Amino acid sequence: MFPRLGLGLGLRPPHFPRVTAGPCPGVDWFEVITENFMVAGGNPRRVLRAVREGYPVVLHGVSLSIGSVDPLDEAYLDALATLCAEIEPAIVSDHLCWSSLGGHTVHDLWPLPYTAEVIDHVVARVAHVQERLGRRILLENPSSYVVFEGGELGEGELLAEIAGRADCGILLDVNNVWVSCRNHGWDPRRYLDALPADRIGQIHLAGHSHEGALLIDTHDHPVCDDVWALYGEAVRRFGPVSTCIERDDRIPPFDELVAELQLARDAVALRETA
Amino acid sequence: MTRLAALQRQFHDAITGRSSLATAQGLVRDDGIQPLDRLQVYAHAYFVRIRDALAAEYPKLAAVLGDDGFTALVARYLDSYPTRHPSLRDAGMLLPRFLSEEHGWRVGALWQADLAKLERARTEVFDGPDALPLRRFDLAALAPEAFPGLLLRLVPSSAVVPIASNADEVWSAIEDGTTVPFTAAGPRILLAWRRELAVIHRTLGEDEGHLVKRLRDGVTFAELCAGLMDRSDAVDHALTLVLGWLDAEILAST
Repeated sequence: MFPRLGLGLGLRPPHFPRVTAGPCPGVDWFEVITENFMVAGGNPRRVLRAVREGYPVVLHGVSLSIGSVDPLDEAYLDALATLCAEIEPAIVSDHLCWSSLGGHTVHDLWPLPYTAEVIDHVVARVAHVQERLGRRILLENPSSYVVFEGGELGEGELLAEIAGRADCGILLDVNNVWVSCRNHGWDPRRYLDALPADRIGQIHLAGHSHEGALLIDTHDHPVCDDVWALYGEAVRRFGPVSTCIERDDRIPPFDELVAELQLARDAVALRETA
Repeated sequence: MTRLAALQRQFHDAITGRSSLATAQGLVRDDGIQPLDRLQVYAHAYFVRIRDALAAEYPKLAAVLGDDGFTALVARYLDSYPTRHPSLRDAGMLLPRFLSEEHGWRVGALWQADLAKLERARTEVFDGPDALPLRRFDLAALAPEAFPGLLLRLVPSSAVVPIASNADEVWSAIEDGTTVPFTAAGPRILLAWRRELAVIHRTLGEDEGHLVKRLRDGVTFAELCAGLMDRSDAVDHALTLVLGWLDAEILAST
């Protein structure tokens, strides 16, 4: 249902010179933050076009606000459709969250309650987005630090129900599963149990930080051993799904991230030899 | 209002400081970690993410104000102008206007607004529309009789920035690692533009500043000369200006 792209990296500005200088062995594709390229021109668009000439590109958004009770932002969807038409991304994704209310954009990924009302609400909005873009999108499980009272099901079940009813895919962020499970006392393997294998269109890996009793999804560290172990479990269950590493702070040299990506390649190879 | 709408309103207002964080405690499951501590993660992330984005967009202003001063400014700004754009790039687009509005009651606000205007202009120029610049060889191919009708227009990735202070000197001093105090230097006009991928700005003389403002809408060479008719060397002066603009790549190829 979704392309198997191999192993990729989240592309960030410090690595623009490297990726535009020539081929990047060890990297099969690149993911970019959609909103950073919704600009008229200049270096961001030049880099994106150059990367797209050599690699599949995945657009990963942070401001779709699919769970908000605000109307969907049609101007945003127009800009996204225009970018898709130009770049022809292999995958388009955003988060199962809300990030705006009353026209106020908060630039964060706020959690949704796990209720039937939310399922109905999000399913209808995903249908609108997919119709507007003429393609399936993926929704990512965000890291969360609160669970709202009145939940009727688990987060994995919510994601699975929405994906099935809306006919969209799931971007499984393994680090976010680990962070949310630790923060809420859930079992990460039971979380994975709830997910339908045929809906998993992409996997994210990242690092996190500790703050008191909570784990925070900071993307400022290498992927930790616990998350690598959970990734191995995910690959065993879901197969060699397109996987990328995200790093947004304390960004290391490009080759260091490529070396980290090799660990993901090893996990996929292990699954194939098992 | 649906249950989801009510929950989002209450959560939003608590996290963004419109109501006390404690008002959202009842929304959140209490499972051993204080709900207030959990909510604080979101409140902290909301503010810090936007403040850090604005500090990256306005590095010189942040340097002038210092960490505490800049943080306080961002808090006041977000109270007046909550972000309404999907991209963090545009979270600070109204900061210059907000600083101008603080002019009536806060010393230095107007001059800081000048610095913010310059920094915002540079941001918008950085990823503005692409365009080919007009070059000397384009003019070499022009028949002499076509010269008066030659349309002169600024490249689209450019901004004319009028200021009342020496904010341009303050910007340069910070860039060079030194300091210059703000002064009321009188009206000045700055031009920011993108040449290839580099963002450039320069301070224009009074005459050139007025002419460059006209270049935003486009002006023919004949009209440019007509605007200089109080000079005896109007045509020569216009030609000198145009050649300088061509070399700086501030004119768009038509």
